Amino acid sequence: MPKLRPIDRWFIDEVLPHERRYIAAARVLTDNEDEARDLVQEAYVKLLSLDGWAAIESPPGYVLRMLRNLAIEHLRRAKIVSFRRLTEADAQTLWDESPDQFRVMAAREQLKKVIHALEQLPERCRVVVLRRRLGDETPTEIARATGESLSTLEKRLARGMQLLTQALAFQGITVRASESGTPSNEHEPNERKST
Amino acid sequence: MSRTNENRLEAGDRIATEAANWWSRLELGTADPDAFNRWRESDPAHAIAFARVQATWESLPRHGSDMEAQLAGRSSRRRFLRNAAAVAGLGLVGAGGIFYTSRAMAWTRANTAVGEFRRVRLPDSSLLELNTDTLVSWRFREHVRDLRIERGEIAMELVTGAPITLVAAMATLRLSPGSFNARLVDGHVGVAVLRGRATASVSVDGGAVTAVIESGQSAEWGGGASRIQPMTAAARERLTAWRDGHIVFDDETLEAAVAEYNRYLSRKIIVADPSLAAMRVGGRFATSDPTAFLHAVSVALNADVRSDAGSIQIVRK
Repeated sequence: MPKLRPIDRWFIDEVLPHERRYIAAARVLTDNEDEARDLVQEAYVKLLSLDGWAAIESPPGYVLRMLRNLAIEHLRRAKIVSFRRLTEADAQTLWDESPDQFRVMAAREQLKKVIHALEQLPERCRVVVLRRRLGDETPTEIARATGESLSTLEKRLARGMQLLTQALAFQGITVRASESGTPSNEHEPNERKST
Repeated sequence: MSRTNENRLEAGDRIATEAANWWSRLELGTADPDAFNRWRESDPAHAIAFARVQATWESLPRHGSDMEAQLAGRSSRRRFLRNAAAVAGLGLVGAGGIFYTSRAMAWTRANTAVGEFRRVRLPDSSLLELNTDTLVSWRFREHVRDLRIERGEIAMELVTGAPITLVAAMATLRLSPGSFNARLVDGHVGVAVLRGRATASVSVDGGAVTAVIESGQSAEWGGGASRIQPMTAAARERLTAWRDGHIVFDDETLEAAVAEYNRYLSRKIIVADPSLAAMRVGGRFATSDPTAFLHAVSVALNADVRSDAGSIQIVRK
């Protein structure tokens, strides 16, 4: 099990599931999808450098405000300042923190996306991913069953996970099949604060 | 955004590849943890890419999950393979005819790293909380709910339903619905009944002893000792403080307090001097940050606190 720091756990549980909202908001503030993703990435980088992350009350709301501020910074640095985008942005309800239009995807819809992504994987990568995850097999068991060396398995698992991550990024996938056994976002994350 | 598009894409791809490689090596147990930490610390983009891979992993169905059951339900009939030999056919078969296999009746696991805290909803909607450095598993079926603590500490808020069994090393406990705290640390088992009742069967020297722990009592086994006692209000607070991120000491030796604190810290505190170790300490501190504790110790015990990359030492002035 890879080691996650509390901030990584928090990022996965509290920030990433709302990614579709960030992208939609960033899209209004930028010229194209790539720039929108850049802006979101920039906000994440800042977020992960914060000391006070644990005290943030509404992480999605915080990210949305960051996006807006970052976009303003970019506009000010640009040679020709256009506030058109900001005016447009303010007219939108994207800053509203109610997640109505970006409600967490229904479990079935998410499941479909995950299955589709799994189906797209090269067979050899998929076998390793599924044996490890679904079969809960140890590396030794997988190596024995597939006749592959550990270093080959390592490469296939890495490749499989990279492709899946690529396919599922920006989807706001929140299903936690792992611990709760329930397809909903019922994990309550680390809410520790130092005193 | 000063980088060109191409550079940006290349850098993003490179980091995504590195993250997947690190993740895979950690998952298969072949990674060098220190090298990984250096890589992750060197750039927030690394940590983000790594977290994405982990998030993807967690979104995949795991055996025993509702999602797996749904996957099974997707196939035209109930083609849910139950025997281990069929795992050889693991994969997605035919167009739309998708099914997975799993070992029947497998256990579901949850864990925390040192310093982590986690709350998990069990399949019957009971609540499970994991303290630092904990590994717990469960298997809930229609007529029986099994829980197993492999290390660390858990709190359970159990709802009414099938009989519940909790196994912790040499102790097997039957739990009623209610609220419980259980720990397995250094071979010692501790159980506190905040509400409800626990019936314990403990193997001792080849035999087994049975005991009932009533609401408001706590029990400990291990190291040749075995005792059941009523919980004072202070003891109750000490036992449950971790659930809101605190650690409480009540006239304990510095040695015992530090051992308890170290459960939460990856950089451990060391008490070098035996005469300091025997001093008594008390207070309430945050599990996530020992600064206040160390300050209190240095002032109250007139000690020096020195830290380096590997540890924090408390020494005589």
